[in-house]
Amino acid sequence: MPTTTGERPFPREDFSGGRQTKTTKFMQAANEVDSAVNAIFSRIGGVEKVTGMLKIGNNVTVTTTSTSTSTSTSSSTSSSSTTTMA
Amino acid sequence: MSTLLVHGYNGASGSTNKLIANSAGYFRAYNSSSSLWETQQGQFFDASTFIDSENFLDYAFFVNGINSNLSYNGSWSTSANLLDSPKAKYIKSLGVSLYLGNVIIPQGGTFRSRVVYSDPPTNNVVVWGLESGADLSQTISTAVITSTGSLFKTRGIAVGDPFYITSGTNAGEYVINSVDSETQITLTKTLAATQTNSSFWCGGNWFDVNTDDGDVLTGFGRNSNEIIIFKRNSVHRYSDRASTLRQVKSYPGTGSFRSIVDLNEYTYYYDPSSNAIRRYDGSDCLIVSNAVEDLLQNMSSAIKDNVVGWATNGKVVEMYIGDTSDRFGNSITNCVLMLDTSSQIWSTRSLPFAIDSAGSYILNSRPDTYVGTPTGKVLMVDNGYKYDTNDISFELQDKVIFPEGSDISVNFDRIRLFIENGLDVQVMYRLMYIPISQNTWKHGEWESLAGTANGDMVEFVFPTNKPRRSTGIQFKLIQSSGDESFLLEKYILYYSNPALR
Repeated sequence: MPTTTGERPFPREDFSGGRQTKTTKFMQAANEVDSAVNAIFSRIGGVEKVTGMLKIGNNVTVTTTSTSTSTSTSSSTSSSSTTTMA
Repeated sequence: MSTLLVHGYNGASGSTNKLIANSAGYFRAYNSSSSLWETQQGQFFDASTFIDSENFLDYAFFVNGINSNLSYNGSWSTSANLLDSPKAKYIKSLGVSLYLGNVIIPQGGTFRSRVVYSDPPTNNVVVWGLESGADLSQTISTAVITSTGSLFKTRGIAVGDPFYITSGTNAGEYVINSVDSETQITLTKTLAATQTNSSFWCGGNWFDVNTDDGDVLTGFGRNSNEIIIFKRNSVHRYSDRASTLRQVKSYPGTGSFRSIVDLNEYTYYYDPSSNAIRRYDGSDCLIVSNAVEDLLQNMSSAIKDNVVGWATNGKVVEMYIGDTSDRFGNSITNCVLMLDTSSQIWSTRSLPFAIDSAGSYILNSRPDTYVGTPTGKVLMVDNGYKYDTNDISFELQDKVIFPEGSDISVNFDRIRLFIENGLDVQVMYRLMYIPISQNTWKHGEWESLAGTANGDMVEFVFPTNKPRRSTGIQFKLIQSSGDESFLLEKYILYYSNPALR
């Protein structure tokens, strides 16, 4: 580990202000950051990576399968089972 | 092939819970057993118009202002709880009523600033308080009119309601004096001519919102015990208890009903006139997006009426704004603005796909949020460590740090990062105010620090063959993977030799 004579530490341990770029860099609060992409500040002081998005089934546009449903004009009545392609 | 709708239907029995989507006009319901989206035979809406939806009285309702309103409770219907309802672009429930906005009333015409609401349900059936037809018989010098095809009492037509004859010599506005039977009404004044087969509509369950202002109704929100009514240039609130309609001061509204997010005691929405996210708190619609102002200003004008909002975990509001860039020139693809409403902290997502619909529903005992994409994907938000099959690219650009103040130069030696589970995090840095000459300082370019994080506390050393003296420094932390999240807790920057130059 390198060492330097007269070395001083500058701790940065609070990111709880989140993203803030409305002000100049000199006006930013001590706990703010310039940019946080796919990041979230849910743990107070820290920064985490966001959770993802899970795809539900196949694409809606390509799925075709048998189904049972009904439609009506004055009351719900009929049912059908068919394969339809959008 | 936009996903025009994502909707969760949660039947009271619990046995008919369904996640419903509409892509290119076709309604489909998700079958979790087969992982397939099952076509709903015969159920088709316009292929390019976004759909608004609402759950009410154990039914799901779907409207788009073009097709006949649709309801679903395991079966689809254009009539169940919808008889004589006007086509509407927007729908929202409040208390014991459903509200339809921007409507087309049969035999009446199109009313872009009108809200129609239902009576309290009778025997669990929604009654809309409207009737219309084209078979009205009128006799000269009498006030009695008949329509054999009508059901005036069943539809909830009441004394004092307006009655509009829309064709023939007697065309005009009248007032109902008595509802004599299902097919006969007596008006408060006699008619001028004998007529048959005239068109008409009647009913009093509606109100207009600032008509003749050149604006149209663009969506609904719900806040406390009021319906929030959005037009592009104004916001209004309607109390069902007091039947009062008031404008929310002079605040602008929105052009995107999909951007309206009701969360806890607030309603959030995108305001295109100010390029801002506003929050309605029951009194004011204040801008809350100053911290991400640059991203909103740099978004495409084409998406301003297509901003999509949603809420996650009961506390985070997210707004999809498309491609944009920050004030430092960094591009963000398919940007989602994220506001943690518990701390008022902003951050962003960058997605590998666009979003064009969203909704939060309780399908599995807790609220889950779903989004739809233009390519027909439906995704559950806040689930897993990838965006579908794509790794998530994390990037944190910290603020500029001046260890000894903005006018004191120092040598930067090393940095220690405290990262829980933070494998493969890379660090970049940029020196700010590098002394170039006796009276000139300049910013440096982004440089990489050699190495990657492979522990819970790791150290990176500044290369000695590159400039490392300046008054300030800025760090950027980058990581891309499909691994579980990590936590950056802090870092310590070590420096030496402070001096004025």
